[in-house]
Amino acid sequence: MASHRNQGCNVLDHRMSRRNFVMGASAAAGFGPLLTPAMAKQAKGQQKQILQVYLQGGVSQFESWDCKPGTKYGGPFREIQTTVPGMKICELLPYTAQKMHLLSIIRSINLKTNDHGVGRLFMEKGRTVGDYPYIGSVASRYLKNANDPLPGYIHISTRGLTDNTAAFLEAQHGQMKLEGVAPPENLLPRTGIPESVLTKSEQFRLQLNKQFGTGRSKSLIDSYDASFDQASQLMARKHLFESQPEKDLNRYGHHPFGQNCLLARRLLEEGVTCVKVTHHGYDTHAENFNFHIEQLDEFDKTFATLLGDIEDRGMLDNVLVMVYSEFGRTPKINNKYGRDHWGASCSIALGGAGIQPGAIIGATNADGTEVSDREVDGGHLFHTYMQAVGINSTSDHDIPGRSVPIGDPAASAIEELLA
Amino acid sequence: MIGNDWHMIGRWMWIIIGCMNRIMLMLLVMLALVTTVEGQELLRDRIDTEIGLNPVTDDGSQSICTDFEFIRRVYIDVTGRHPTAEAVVTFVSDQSQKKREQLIDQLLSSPEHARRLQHHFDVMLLQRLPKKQIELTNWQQYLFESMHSNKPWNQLVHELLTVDGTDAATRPAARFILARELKREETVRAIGQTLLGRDLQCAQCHDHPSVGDYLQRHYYGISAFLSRSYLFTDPKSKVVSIGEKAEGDVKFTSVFTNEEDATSPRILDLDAIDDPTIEEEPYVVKPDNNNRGVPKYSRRLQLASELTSEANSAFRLNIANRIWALYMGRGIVEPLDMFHADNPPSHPHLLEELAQFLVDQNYDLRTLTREILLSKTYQQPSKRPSESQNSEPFVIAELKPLSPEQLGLCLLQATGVLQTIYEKHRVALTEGEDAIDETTAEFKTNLEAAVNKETATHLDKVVTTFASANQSSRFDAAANQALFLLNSPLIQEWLDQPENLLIKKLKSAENVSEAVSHVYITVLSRNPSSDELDLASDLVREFDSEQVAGYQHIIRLLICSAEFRFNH
Repeated sequence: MASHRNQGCNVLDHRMSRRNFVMGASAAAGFGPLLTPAMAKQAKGQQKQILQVYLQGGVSQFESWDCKPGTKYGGPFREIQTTVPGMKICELLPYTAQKMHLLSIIRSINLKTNDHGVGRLFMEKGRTVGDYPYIGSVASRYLKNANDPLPGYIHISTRGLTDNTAAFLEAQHGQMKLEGVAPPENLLPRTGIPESVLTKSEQFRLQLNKQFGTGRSKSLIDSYDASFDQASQLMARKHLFESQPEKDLNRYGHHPFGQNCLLARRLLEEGVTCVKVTHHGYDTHAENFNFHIEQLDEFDKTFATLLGDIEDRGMLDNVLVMVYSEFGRTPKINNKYGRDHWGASCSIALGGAGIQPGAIIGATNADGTEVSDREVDGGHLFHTYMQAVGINSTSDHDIPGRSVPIGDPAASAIEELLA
Repeated sequence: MIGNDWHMIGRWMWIIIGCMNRIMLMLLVMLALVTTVEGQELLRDRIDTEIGLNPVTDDGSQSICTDFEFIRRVYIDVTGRHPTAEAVVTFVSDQSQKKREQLIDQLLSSPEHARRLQHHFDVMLLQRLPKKQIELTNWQQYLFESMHSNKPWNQLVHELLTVDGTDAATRPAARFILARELKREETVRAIGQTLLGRDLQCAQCHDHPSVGDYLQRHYYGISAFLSRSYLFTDPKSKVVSIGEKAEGDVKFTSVFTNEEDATSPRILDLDAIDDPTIEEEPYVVKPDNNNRGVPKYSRRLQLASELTSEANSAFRLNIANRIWALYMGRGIVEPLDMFHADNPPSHPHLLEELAQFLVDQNYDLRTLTREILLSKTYQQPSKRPSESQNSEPFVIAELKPLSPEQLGLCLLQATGVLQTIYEKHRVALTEGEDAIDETTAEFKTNLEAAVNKETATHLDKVVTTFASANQSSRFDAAANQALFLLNSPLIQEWLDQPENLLIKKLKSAENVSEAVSHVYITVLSRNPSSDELDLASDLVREFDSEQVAGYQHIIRLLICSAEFRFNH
């Protein structure tokens, strides 16, 4: 039996980078009392955030970021100019085309899977198998300020699966799922409690914990108390879920995706580290073209408005924006005018934070049937997202007694895309 | 000649000396045997010695938790719920010297203990995987019965790995494999984590980058035992079971080095197991579309024997560490699935002894549990008397966060629902034509089954809110969990049930302080301090017209406390 060791990554490197990294993280989390309010505000302004727009079901790359008009599989749509000279996208995205100077496109993704579940996990965890945290949970774990009142990872969706997104990270970094703009479960306080009782009750609970905590594990009781703080901060912000401002809704659209994106912007403004919005309905096995007209019509204006708002507020330097699916769609058009699952050559758009705008990474061949240049997969994307928000994805997770690389050690970031 | 004589004498001397050595050795062995029998060095005492516990403090008093703390702790650990107010009062006023031992024995033999272990081992072995092929209730029933009959651990594991799912009577055990659809990455990982104490996930694609002991061939060595097994769907009944082929070997490639390697079945660093030579026909049943393959030599059956064999120390160390952690709040090796050279056990000798005890006792988990619970180490207070005190592991009792199932049962208990359900079924079982005598084992088992059935839906809600697939014993808390405890209408529904015995009792209390005291002992298993009594009574009085609402409010505040959230 050969007993060679795979030295893919050097143990010492792991430790060194981890130490630097952990120091960085603890400095970010712990400086509250040491800073003047102005400095704290400035630091807060530099906090990195993520906006994920997930086109569930698999948007067609032909009908979005990688058009092949006039070719065998190109479909009926034309491509249009964007604000970046030479960068053309599908005519179904006219509003987004006006914002492309803020984004870049990756056209050379090969996920090697046509399975919704595997593709989704690959895009979220940077690995096809195994118990690893999602992008949002990792971001929450390493970017969230300990004093941030709201949960670090909020997912706005109208349906879908409940995943264990935090894996081995703490439960507080798991996604908080919102059913559209409805308030989180159990947000509203119990009725019938006299006003006079409320404050006293909170003091009563804190006193009880203080008494119990004396001589016992501080970290356990602190983290328990923190979850109640977070709960009460959420309760204090129930206005976020009560009504959306009409003026904004007119710009975003009154449809659910419009409302969800508006809530996403407001949550980012409240400092939530990662906000994910899911736009359902891209699994177009039949009537691919009609469905894309409908779906992208809803997506395009809303997304362009949201991106514009983030830019106008000066937040784009710190917010990583990503538009992605679990895979793309087949070049071949089936007999129901549909396109099927296709992981071999698909595209995403991304921008903000540490991403170079206006770039096109990689390419597919003339008919769009395979990647012809700069092939990448979910592992490369994961490293790229992480490094764009300042997380050293080649270091290990900060978990006592364990040694788990944040990104897949067999993949690396798309360096040329990092600013 | 003389020289020869001397030579002979010399030889004799050597022989005599050699014999003496042996005799000495025999004497020592006999002495050791005598001391184990005569000296009564019980495992519980060995635990205290190894932990370095000094149970008598300087002023001569013993450091040991109070009766209130003990009864709450042992109830939650052994039955999954805290004691009723009545049980607390009875226990505390009991003057018997042996009452702790008696309580431990009573709880360990109860069906509630089997339910607790059912919950625990379900989560540990199946990691909350959804239903596949096997009805969850059948699997749960199988675990419950295994735990109630105190099935030896090695036997249970043997069943999990060898049952092929064709016999309805044993089919539930196949869930360990069928829920993972025999997928290599899931099945091999689960075997490593739960049965060997090693999370080999990273070793799937390459040797672990920073844990020197986890090699890719370990992963594939286990994989090779399973690689010939496959899921077989019966063409008529559509029932899925596990078939096996007689050929096929495992190769693997490192994603770092692209070097290809191959391995025969092997457990970690033990010898590889070569297939026996089988003349002519290798199959009992040849695999084809209509027939489930059954080879003469099954690598999967071989896995069960090799894994549980004495040569494989990882098997016994893993379960000893896990049982210890279950009751002590952390493993001697922690995290529980991170046995490797750079993560040594805090008390290596103790871990060896616990594991050896299990082997000597034929993997009787209940006997091991009993010794752990009887140790003074288990019965230490969780509160440090002074800041300066030694913070070595296990010298003071750890805070144990309630598992989602424990929390669910404790919430039902604290709101009076569990007691109400028990009473309802007790009456139903002991009245009418089919009445059963309350003292029989049959009664206890039937009662438990009826209560389990009725509490299942309530528990599910709590478990979904509090569960994570997190395998470590670290504590987690999230905002949605706090919101559930603070505001959930479900808890209010429980408290508002018209038949709720706890609320009835509070309504009939003589005065507010009597009711508040009863709330404390029901929820926290202790009496309120006089300050607490005053504060809580004042709060109740603010609900002027509706005192019941006031009591409910106090219950809801207490279930939000850290004291309730942890077993301490």
